[in-house]
Amino acid sequence: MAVSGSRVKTALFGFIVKRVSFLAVIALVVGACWLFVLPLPGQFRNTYISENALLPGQAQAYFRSSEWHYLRGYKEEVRRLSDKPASEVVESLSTILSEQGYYTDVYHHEPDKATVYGIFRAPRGDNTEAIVLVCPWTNGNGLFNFNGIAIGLALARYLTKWSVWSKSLIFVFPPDPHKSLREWVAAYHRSLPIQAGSIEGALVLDYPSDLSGFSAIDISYTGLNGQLPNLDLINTVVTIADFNSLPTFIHGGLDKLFNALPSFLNPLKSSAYFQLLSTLLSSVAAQVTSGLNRVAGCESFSGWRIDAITISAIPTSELSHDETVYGRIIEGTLRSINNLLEHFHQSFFFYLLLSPHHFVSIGTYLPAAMSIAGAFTLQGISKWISYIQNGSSRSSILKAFFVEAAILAFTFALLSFSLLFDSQLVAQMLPTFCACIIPTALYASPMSYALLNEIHGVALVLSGMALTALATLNFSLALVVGLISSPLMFLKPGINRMHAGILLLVLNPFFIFYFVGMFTNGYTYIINTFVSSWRDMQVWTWIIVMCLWLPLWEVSAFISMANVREEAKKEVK
Amino acid sequence: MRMLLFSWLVFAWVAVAATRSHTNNWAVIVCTSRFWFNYRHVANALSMYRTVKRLGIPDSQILLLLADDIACNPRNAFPGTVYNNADRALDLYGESVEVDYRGYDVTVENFIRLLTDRFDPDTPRSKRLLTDDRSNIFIYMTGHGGNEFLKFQDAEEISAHDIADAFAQMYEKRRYNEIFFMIDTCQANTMYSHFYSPNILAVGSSELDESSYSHHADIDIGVAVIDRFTYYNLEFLENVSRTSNLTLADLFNSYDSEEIASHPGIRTDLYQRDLSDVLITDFFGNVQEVEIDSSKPRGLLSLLNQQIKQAK
Amino acid sequence: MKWFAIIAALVGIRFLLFLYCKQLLAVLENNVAISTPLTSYQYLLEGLFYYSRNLEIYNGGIYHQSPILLYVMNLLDATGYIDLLSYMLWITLDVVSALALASMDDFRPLTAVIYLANPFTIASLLARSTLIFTSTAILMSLATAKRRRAVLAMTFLAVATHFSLYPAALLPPVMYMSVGSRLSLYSFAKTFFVFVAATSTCMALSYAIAGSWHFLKFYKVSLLFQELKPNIGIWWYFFVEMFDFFMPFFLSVFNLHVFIYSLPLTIRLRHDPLFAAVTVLGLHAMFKPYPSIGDISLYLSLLPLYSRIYTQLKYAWVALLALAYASILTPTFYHLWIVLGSGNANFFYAITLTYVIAMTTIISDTLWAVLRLQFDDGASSKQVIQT
Repeated sequence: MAVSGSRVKTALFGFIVKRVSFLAVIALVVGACWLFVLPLPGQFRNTYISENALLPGQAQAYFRSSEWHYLRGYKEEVRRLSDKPASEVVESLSTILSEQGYYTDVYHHEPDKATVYGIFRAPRGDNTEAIVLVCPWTNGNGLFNFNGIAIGLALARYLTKWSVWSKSLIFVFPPDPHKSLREWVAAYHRSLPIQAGSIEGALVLDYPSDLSGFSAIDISYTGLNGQLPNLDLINTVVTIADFNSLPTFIHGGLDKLFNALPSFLNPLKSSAYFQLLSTLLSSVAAQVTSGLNRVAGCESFSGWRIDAITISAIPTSELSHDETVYGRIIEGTLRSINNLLEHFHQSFFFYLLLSPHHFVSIGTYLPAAMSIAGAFTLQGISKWISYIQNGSSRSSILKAFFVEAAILAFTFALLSFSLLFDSQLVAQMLPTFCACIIPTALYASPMSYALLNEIHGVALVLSGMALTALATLNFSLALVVGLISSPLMFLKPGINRMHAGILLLVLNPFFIFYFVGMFTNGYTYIINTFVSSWRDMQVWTWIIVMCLWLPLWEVSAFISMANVREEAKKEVK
Repeated sequence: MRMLLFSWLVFAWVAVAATRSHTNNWAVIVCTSRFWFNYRHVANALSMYRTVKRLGIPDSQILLLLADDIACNPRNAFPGTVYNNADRALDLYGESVEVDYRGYDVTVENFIRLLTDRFDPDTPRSKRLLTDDRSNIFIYMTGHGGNEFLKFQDAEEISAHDIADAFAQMYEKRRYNEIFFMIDTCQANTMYSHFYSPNILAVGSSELDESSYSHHADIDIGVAVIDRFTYYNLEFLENVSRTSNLTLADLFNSYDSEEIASHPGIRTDLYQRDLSDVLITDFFGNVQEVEIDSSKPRGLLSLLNQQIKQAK
Repeated sequence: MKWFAIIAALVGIRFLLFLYCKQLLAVLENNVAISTPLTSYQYLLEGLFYYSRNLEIYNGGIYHQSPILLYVMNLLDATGYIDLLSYMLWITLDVVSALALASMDDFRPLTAVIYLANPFTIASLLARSTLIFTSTAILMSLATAKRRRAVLAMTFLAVATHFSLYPAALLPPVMYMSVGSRLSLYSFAKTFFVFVAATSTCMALSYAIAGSWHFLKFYKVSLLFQELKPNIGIWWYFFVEMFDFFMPFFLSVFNLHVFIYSLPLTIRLRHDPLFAAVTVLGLHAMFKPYPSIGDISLYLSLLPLYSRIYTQLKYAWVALLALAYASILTPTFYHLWIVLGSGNANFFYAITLTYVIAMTTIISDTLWAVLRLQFDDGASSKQVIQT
């Protein structure tokens, strides 16, 4: 009664079907090379101030000569406190702030850790909005934030002399810019006894030296899990720095990358393309590792719709800009944020900076991650082609989903294990557990070629979907995870087990962490960082590794190591 | 005989009418922006307000529409003041400022009601434009505008057609003698392109696709304090006093589009008089035509006879 | 036996998730793709609060469902274990729906398994969306109509229409199915009379429970689109920025869209009125004012009844992938928009449109396939090749 069992075919469909795998490779190459095209002239845009109300640099900043004396006094005070116990530091800072006229309080995280914060209610404002200035005791690199605290105290005194504030000012002095600061922000939105309304913007002051001079400022802007502050905030700071003839860098500048390169590439360093590319890549790297290694401070504000950046001064002993220039930058930025009536909303929330004055917006850079995710989906579809074309039994696709569900449950169990137990134990046991799939595959009963392909197809399509969703939330993480795990899509059932084994080993997440750990602080440290960053800072990277990358690895290991049932090696029509 | 007298009466009336001019002056000054960064628009409007007051128009004949959120804005480093110059020599807001429509009352609806006098009977007189057919009206508008529209308070817009139709209603209701319409916004000249009623003179600060720029900023207030077009108008008007003989032609000739950084436009096709005959004080001041008659009072018929003799 | 085990496992998973994943349930209850203002369990509890204290239920602007539900929930509440009992009620209805589906397909277990294993169905159940009352009634109506049990079919359809207005569009196909071969004005009139009688009974019951005719307000909410909340439908984005002047026009056009396809589809698909009903349900999943993924899962679960058309489908995989992508991106973009504030409504609406595209593709593709099969009664073995 039915029309014959073969599928509807169209000529175009047939053409595409034979070449889906090839399309996947093309998509992968396009995605990998996309970022290298962006620094070419014409692909990026100049930054501009979108919000007319900001008016950066139009107000004269007076944090100069007369304030310099107060600043020196506070520097001496900080020098005196530099080796005192935390309790005395907290008490001194509290006293200083209250004497300046702030409503001061101390938030205790743990018995020995406390954050001092003070609120200056705007004399003519309505106390429903606030701007936060953070001066952590140690900065993101663990260095003592000497001048940052001194300038913070001097600014705290100075800013109360002005009556132009429409928003309240909050000065926060946490012991460190990561866990403690994030706990303070969470407590502010929940339970702190004194508050000042919603936070419109936050600036983290970072000047880790007692030297009077600094040569440039470095802006760190990436938040956790791919969130970014509004581009206008960064543009404001850069504009004000330009007015003060102060150079700006983004995310540590180019020194680190420049110095890491071999010397024969030196001539490249002066080219505009190379400089833009390095800043772009360091922005991507910062977004991937945000919350993991160096937490600059602005990350702690992610998740509450607060636009936050860290302004770090690069100290130098040469005659250059002095601390009051840094103070003026902060003051100018505060005046600009003060002009706002609403949250930052005019400018971009999705961007990548190629330099303090150039950026690309989401429409320009997103295709990189999307092609890679698309490559996964296309490759997954190519594995399904035989099923789609020949209409093999429907139950095999259900079996494929069942296997995928089992593997996802397994990796979820591994994830729970890693979060519940001590990281030393976890670091040792995880690679063993995840490698269990290989003997399972080797000793399981043989399965048909088509079924193995379908299992792989399901895993690849699901990974493609997950990477697509991830790319909209955290572009850089999707790009990096996608690129690193992409060779897994080329594994096939029945290939040479030796070759498959080598590829699987190299692409195993734990092996890669071990390899990276050899150059940094060690493999256990890396695992510990991932787990503790989830616990303390709610960074999702570990979840992504365990629930996106690892299941794909497991499935690829399974199908490449499994025994193939000989008679089922059909040709794909 | 009666026919002759009657025709002479008509002739006399026409003769008198031919020399008609205005007997009172009104000013409508509108600032359509709000928020701190539009300080300069409020300064523009208040400067014009000060000028017309100085030249004689009383508050009862000035309608000032401002959002009025600048002087007491917490961001104002000099609370209670509005300056139009970085030298801060003159505080425009300090004393005797009468704002008739403030805050959220500055709407398109209220502006058009004001022009056409369509109000509830219990609207206070200070909010109404009580002009008659011998009133010269100076209408000044400033804010953010575009091609044939003007933004009111960031929430609505008025189009060039709306204003043209309002003026047409005013003409039909005989609510003005002459109107001098001045507008300082971006693409301002498009706002007067649709007027079609007689006796309207219009000047705008910039052409289509041109922006109007601010003149300078005060570094302590932190915002721009005056717009270029208004600044150069004020510079000229400083030399005008109540008895000055300077004309509108002099004013318009003083415009230098390089200094103003845009091309001001003047529309005279609806205006009958020659610009070199129009005194500045005809619109900015409150000079009235008064006849002083020193001889003893006469009846109407003898006055008419005198007119007829003069006409012969 | 194997199938029985699978079905038992699926029901067991539902219980396990209820017992051990309370947080997941809370998240799903608040998800806009799953519970809408007309089907939300939270709103049902709110209405129950008013009802149990004899307060005016429909004035609060929160509860927009039938009073009969309140009566049932009140009975459950009286025992004190409302959480567990309500969940068991929902699971029971789920199983009844699965049975009804299987019965339409000669009791093939795979159809029931597909329904029970569909993630959309599970999510709808975990969120306790009250759409299940409507869905179960619709499926029972279709199942009984297929067996020519006219009275039962009309009664179930009346119940479904009472709970949510839109199953009224199923009247032509279900009437046609239940009348079967006895095509006469008399039989149509008889079935229509049963429908009217059943509807009146439901209305009378509601009146008795609610105490007044105010309960009719909840029909107004869906017809006049009074509750403006984002969902996976296409109405809300239009109506957010519509001038009041145009409201009546657009409301009529949008409402017309929901009902107007039903009769023509029934006439064209006279030979297979069940498929007309299925297609109408698919159109409802797109054009209803407050659709949810429960509507989509109802439509997708009915499609396995027509497994013979699978060979004729041209875009099945594209559409299913589009649907899968839309499902994964809906919570992502909602999070970006509402929680993080870096996205905006356009992101979310784009995904809604992806849902619509996927559903349109499936509906038109399946319709084409059915018509193709009707063309030669499947007699020819010619393949269909198109360039």
